[in-house]
Amino acid sequence: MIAREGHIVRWRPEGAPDWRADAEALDAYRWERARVVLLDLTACVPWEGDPWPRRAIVWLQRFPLPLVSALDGALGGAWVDLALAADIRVGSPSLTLTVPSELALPTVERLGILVRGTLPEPGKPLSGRWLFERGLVSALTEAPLAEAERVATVIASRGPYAVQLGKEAIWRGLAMPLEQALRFETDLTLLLQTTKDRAEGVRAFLEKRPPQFEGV
Amino acid sequence: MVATGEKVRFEADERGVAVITLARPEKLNAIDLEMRDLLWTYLLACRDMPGLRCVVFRGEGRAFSAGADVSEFGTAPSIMDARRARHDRDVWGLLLDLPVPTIARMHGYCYGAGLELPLCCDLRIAAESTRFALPEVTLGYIPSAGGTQTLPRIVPPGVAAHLILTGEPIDAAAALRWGLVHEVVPDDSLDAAIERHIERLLGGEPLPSRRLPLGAVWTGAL
Repeated sequence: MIAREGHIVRWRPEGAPDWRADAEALDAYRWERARVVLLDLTACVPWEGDPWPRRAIVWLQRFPLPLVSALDGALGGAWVDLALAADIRVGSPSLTLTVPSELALPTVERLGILVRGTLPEPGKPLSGRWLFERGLVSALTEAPLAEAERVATVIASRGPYAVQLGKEAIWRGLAMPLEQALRFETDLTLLLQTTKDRAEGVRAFLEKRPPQFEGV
Repeated sequence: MVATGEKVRFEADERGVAVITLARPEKLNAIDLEMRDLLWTYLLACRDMPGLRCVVFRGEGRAFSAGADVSEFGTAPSIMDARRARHDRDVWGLLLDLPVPTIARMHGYCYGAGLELPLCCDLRIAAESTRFALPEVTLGYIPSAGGTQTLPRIVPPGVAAHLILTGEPIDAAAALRWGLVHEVVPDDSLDAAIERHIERLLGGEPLPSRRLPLGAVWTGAL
């Protein structure tokens, strides 16, 4: 299920989601200026069918809008590809995430960045607490979907271009030497200086009022 | 050696310890262009000073720094002038390249550039009431003093994304959990903790962690 509510796109994959259909729907919402995707993985049944191909996972990791995921229950198989492609993960204490023995290469790479070292043992369930302590999950709560909705709402209230370039800066910058990455950040910063939203953000701050960002 | 009476103060003692103080407390040490120029000058002095062994950054008053001075945003004559100025006077690159250990004494608000400066330091020691944030997205902006690159290299990248994309603050306990700071101490023990770390460094003890990774963190498909 993919549906838009205001600036937020709610994505609740079911069964074995058809990556072409989901990608098409998400992309359409992006062009319609949605601001954030809320990926609900709190009630997943075991994945049915083939995992997403490598190109689909790379596409999802590169998706320009921020992805906030809510994780709960037992997640394994190809759900791990989707969970780790998200920018922000909110989990519950009862969450378990089991890394499958055969993992798509882009997910292996993403997991390597996220854990900064030895990859978790395949087949061993990782608890929500374990994931939180290592920063794979950045918020741990009994109500992960409600918290993920709150986080998505906060992000949707921020400057849309700033959020998109912030995401781009983080993930693409990690693939660069630091000196190059810092220049990349500077150039993105200067690009943002050309937007009306940036001018609105500064003006609103100085006038002590909430900004009205329009994504321009 | 002492340079006083300015928005940034510089002092160096006989041990070879330099202290750079953000001294604009009436504005919560919001870093304006003048302060950026002073930081550049003092960092050059640190780079070239014989016998220097350690640099400490601190803020005067209620906060380390509440960030950049927003009232000066957009005052550069053109985008290209702004770019040239940033590259010609790369304060944060100079700080990252200093040959001696650097310590951030963090208290009060460490927001925006007031967090990004410590992220360029080797040791970050915080008072327990400190608040940390990169709130630039609330202004339609992103961190521009290196924060989008240093933070994901210091804390788990998903945590960095959470902080950068929401702009929401965290407390000292969370900062310690994620490795954003190396130590949290009671507010009234902060100076003693800084002195303890200075003495350890002067005694030849290694830093508790390696400096910021300078290379690419990964070389994947993205």
